[in-house]
Amino acid sequence: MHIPDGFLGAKTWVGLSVISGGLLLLALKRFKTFDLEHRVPLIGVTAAFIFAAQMINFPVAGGTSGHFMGAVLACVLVGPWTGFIVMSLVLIVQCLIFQDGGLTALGANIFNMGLIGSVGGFYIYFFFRLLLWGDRTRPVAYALAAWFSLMLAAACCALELAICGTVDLSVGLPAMLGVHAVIGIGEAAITTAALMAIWKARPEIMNMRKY
Amino acid sequence: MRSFWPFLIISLILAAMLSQFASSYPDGFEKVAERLGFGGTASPEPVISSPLPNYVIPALGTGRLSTSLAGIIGVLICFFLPFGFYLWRRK
Repeated sequence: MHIPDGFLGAKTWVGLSVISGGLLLLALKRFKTFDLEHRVPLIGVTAAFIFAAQMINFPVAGGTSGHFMGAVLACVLVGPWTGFIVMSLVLIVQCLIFQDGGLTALGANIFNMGLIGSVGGFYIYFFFRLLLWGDRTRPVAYALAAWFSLMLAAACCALELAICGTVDLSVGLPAMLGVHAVIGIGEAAITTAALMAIWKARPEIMNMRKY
Repeated sequence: MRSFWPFLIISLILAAMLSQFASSYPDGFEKVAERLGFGGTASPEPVISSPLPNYVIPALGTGRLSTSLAGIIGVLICFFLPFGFYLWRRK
């Protein structure tokens, strides 16, 4: 879902860059007051894993592929705002070093996959954990949160394209949601498998973090 | 810290080896752009040129080695950047 350069109108990408940039600076600033030393290695491996997993496009129906987003994985492991930082880091590296996602669209991509994906994803996850109380339903909450976070990010992407007149919302939204509903199955499977494996191996790092 | 190495190793294996099997079909977003015809109207030229475009090392062409090395470089950058940021802020 990495938007390249040229798809978004100037007002849209400048606006989203300001929002994402500002939130990232705020998140990094607040981050200082929290227990950093403890979380730096976890942040590093989470970012490294998401970067690696995003490289692997899996085929979905009709000559289309999809790849992992990882925002719910990030927010469950490190917390919503730290997950936002992790997603931003991955997106910045992908944009600057690998030309994946345009520089002008970086703010939009951070907004969709970082803010909506990780912070939004965290509250979706939180909601499902409240709804499906207990440890046995843990994988269900992971899977549902992963699927919905991807759909929400895809919807935001369609909305941004509609705001600047690239494609009508009535056409773009169903198209984006349709294809990501299928990719979301992969997203849910990878997120659930990874989080359950980590939960079994290292349950102590799975404490719910609010920042 | 020691316990995080397995996760890093898994990431390196994914980036270096499993990335070989990545599908080259357009992804969900690209497909939608193609199908709805708004992909062609946008300028395809990126604003900046990156050192390792499309997850390959230009000097090594587009082979397997190129993708693997690019993946390893990306994983290591993502892993070490937070440490760098931390050391820089701690001063």
